[in-house]
Amino acid sequence: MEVLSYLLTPFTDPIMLFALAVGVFAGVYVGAIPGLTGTMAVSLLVSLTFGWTTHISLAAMIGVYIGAVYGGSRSAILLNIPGAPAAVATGFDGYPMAQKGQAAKAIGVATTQSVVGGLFGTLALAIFAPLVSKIALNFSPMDYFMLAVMGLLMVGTLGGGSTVRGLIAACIGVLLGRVGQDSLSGITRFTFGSTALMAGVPAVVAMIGMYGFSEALVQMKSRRFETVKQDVSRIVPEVSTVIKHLGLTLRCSVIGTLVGAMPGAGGTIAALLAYDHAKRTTKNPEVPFGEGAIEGVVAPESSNNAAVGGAFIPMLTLGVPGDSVTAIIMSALIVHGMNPGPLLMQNSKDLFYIVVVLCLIGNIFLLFFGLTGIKLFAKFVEIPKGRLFPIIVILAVTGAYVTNNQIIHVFWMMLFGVVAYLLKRFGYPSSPLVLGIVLGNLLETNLRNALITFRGVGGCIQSIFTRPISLILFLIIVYALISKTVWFLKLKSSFVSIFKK
Amino acid sequence: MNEKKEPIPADGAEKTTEHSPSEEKKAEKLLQPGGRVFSLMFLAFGLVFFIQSVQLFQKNASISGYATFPLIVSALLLILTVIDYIQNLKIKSEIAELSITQKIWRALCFIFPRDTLIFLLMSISYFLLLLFGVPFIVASLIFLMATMNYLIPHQFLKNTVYAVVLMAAIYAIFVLVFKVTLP
Repeated sequence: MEVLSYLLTPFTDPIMLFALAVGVFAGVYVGAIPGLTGTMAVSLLVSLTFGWTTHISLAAMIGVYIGAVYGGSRSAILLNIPGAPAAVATGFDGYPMAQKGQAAKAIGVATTQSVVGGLFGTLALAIFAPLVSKIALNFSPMDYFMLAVMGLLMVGTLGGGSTVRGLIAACIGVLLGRVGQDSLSGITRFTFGSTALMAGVPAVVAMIGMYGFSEALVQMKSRRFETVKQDVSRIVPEVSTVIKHLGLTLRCSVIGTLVGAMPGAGGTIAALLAYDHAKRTTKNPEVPFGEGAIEGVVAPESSNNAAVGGAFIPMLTLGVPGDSVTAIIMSALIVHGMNPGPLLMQNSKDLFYIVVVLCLIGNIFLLFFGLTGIKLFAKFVEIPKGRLFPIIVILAVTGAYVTNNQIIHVFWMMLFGVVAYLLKRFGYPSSPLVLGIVLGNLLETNLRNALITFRGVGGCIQSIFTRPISLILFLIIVYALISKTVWFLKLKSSFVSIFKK
Repeated sequence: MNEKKEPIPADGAEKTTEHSPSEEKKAEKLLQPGGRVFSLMFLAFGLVFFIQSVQLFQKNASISGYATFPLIVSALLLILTVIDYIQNLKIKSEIAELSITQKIWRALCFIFPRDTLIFLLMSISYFLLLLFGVPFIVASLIFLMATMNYLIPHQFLKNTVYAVVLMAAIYAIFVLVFKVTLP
């Protein structure tokens, strides 16, 4: 009865529902604008919410969070510029779909599967919070390191091209991410005496350049342009389409929730893992992955939205934020006199259930806002390329500048754009480079912590074989590595032929 | 069922013949002009980071120190680039029979086709305008007008409308709604 009253609290406060709805709406469009991320929007919002009540400010922040995670997919599908890192994988197949005139189908499916994923994540938050948080609590630095290695290995082999080239790009990204001050010791590395490099390579700016500016350069190679007329006559996907992919959606939602619950992992890894899962498990996609496979949109979108619910689990139960947005929400809650952590579940049980219901309603709002206003947004891709690409450059310049109000960031954006253009021109994937920059710190910090915790390399290796979680992660890495080798594929085909005989 | 609509040609533009992915895969069998030099650039990049990492490691030889991880990654990068270079050697180059100057010229033409080069130079000029203090709105309008009129000529009025509307929208979203400072 007590729980029920907590669950009904948002319904008794119209202002809270209004704040949530406005938050979701704003989040969708902020997330869709290249350069404006959910993290940035929530951080801007925090300063406004100090004067509001805890519940209303929480509603607005959760709304923006849910909306922005989904919103990133729109620009990924329509412009090939992920609004957020979590939407990187969505662009792999979403953008090829838009190029074929199927933007509305991609956005429609992305919306419904995002909502299903979001609802799944919320349900998991409500039911499995204590259990999952216990598992996440048992993760050692070595496990986090292996998780990040998994992410990089996976993205290195995502493009379907040369694994070596994918890994080269990933290594370059990791090394570029090491430029600047070391997060543990404060020592500056690889700055070559330049003060401009002290703060390191800005990941968001690199991402804008590599996905926005470079795309404009790549498409500019021909003077003859053609536009793709987007079919937006049917935005709402057919029920059969949703049901057909429900199994994949639910599997990816599980991945998203679990990864989201791991502090620091977040929606990006969740989406990439889900994409890889879809690629490996979908046997006969109607369209090959990377060329507009609908499964390539379903998987990351359901996963990154499920990760939202997952990210709240360690934040509310352990006081450890699951990602950057929950870190901001946590700091806002502290300003409001709350203390996220194990005691919150005992002292402010109402807050936990209110978060659950807000996530639930937020996803329903998302369904409405996600399936409306697409026609206007889709017009972007109907603009002739001769006009679209200068516009993308302007948005990329604006996005790069507003991240830190420094003109040098515009230079970085253009430099990374040219680098990505050259990579694409010579057949090297650029996504592993971006992911390398993003995951580099997670990799290094946890490797060094693991080396300290387990007293050297021997201890780290030993820990893999003495801890079930570590062993599972290690086996996944080994499988991911050997499954791409020629001898493994030969062995697999010979086994298949033996079984057929 | 929605009928798939055919792509429509852009205003003032001719229809292009895009390569299908399978055609591109076929084309990839020949190494692109400058492909080997490009892979050597990765080797140089890895080498710079490796040498720097070794120097850092000499300052702090701890296994859990700040030099270990970059050392491992840069060493891995060197190994991978060598493998990649060897793999590239096995692929026949498009420009194998040409003289060195012709090779350089073909590689440059491959890397920067005319429109790409002009667009890149316009973008760099736009950045320089911003760097030298030209207001964002003015610099962006100049860039938009220049690029749009180059890429879609003979549509000055339409291009102007696009440029002005876009700049108004950017100003409204970033400055009025989000109170963001523009360059």
